[in-house]
Amino acid sequence: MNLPLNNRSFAINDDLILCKEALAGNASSFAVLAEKYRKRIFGLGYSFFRNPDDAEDFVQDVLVKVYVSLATFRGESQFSTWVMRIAYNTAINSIKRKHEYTSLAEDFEIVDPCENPEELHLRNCSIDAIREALTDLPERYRACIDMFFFYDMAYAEISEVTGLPVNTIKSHVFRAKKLLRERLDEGDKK
Amino acid sequence: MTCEKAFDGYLELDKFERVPVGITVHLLFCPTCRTAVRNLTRAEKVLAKPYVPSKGIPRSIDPVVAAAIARIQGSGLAYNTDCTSEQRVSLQRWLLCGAIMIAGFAFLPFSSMGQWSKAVFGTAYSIPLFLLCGVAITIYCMFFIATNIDFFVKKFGLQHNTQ
Repeated sequence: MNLPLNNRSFAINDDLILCKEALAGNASSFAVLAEKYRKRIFGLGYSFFRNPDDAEDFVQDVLVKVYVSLATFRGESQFSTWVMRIAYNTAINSIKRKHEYTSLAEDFEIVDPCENPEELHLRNCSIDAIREALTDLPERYRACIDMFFFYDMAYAEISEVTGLPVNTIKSHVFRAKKLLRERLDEGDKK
Repeated sequence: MTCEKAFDGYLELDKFERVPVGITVHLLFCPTCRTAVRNLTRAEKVLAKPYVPSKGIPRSIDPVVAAAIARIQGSGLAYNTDCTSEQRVSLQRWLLCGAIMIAGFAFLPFSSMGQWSKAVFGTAYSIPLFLLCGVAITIYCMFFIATNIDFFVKKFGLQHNTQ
């Protein structure tokens, strides 16, 4: 699907403006928003369904829900947090969900085409550390670690999405960060 | 400040949180911690890279997103240009109207019409007045809540049950 590229749409990259445009009937503005968050929604879906086809269906379901609820978004939280909350709740309530949450670090090949060998090594090293941090961690806290490291979300945002207390999230992330530091130090010594 | 204490303090920081002065000073004078912080920052950046939303306008849309949009349009859920959020009455206007209505009812017995009703109907005038007030306030509240339901859902933390 090609987007109508007019001068106006080039100037717009603010979620709230795109949201208002979508509410005013501009489907291409919603397409821009959807494209922006597609990867995150897919990643979250994959963690729950562990199947690319189900994850794609999940992306569609979430996007439809986001679109339908767009009028209720008042901009009190970030649009990305709001979308992730809808995605998380949709996944939790999904009848198709057969698996527990699997972290992106455990069972997902994260590919970034622009990655150089150094970055690739750093990523592998970091993923190992996160995998270690996830050992013995209950399922519901695994999503917090992913949200912090892979989705670049702050503690308060993670708390808003998962409904878990900020301090609990903070302590799990702290442990993961400590392990990450140790792994990186080991990598440096080698 | 010891390296361990400074680094633990650094690890406790949230995303985009400002580094406290004490830790900044320690990092300035400790090359080991500085290198560790640099490595950690790079690692976090590399991990988040594939999922950080792109800032520009995408030139094309993924087939999954296109299918979702087709689904929205096909099921008649698409917003039309007549239905914009700007048409909603703001919260301030609702509250102002409510305050004016309540003030109006409070001052009604002291107005000339109120005085005349009291003189003509005596105490029998009070019951219809209170009934009128009750009905008016109930209708007002009903419309106020119905048109601002999302506000109440957020305010009272009901969103987890609704989505």
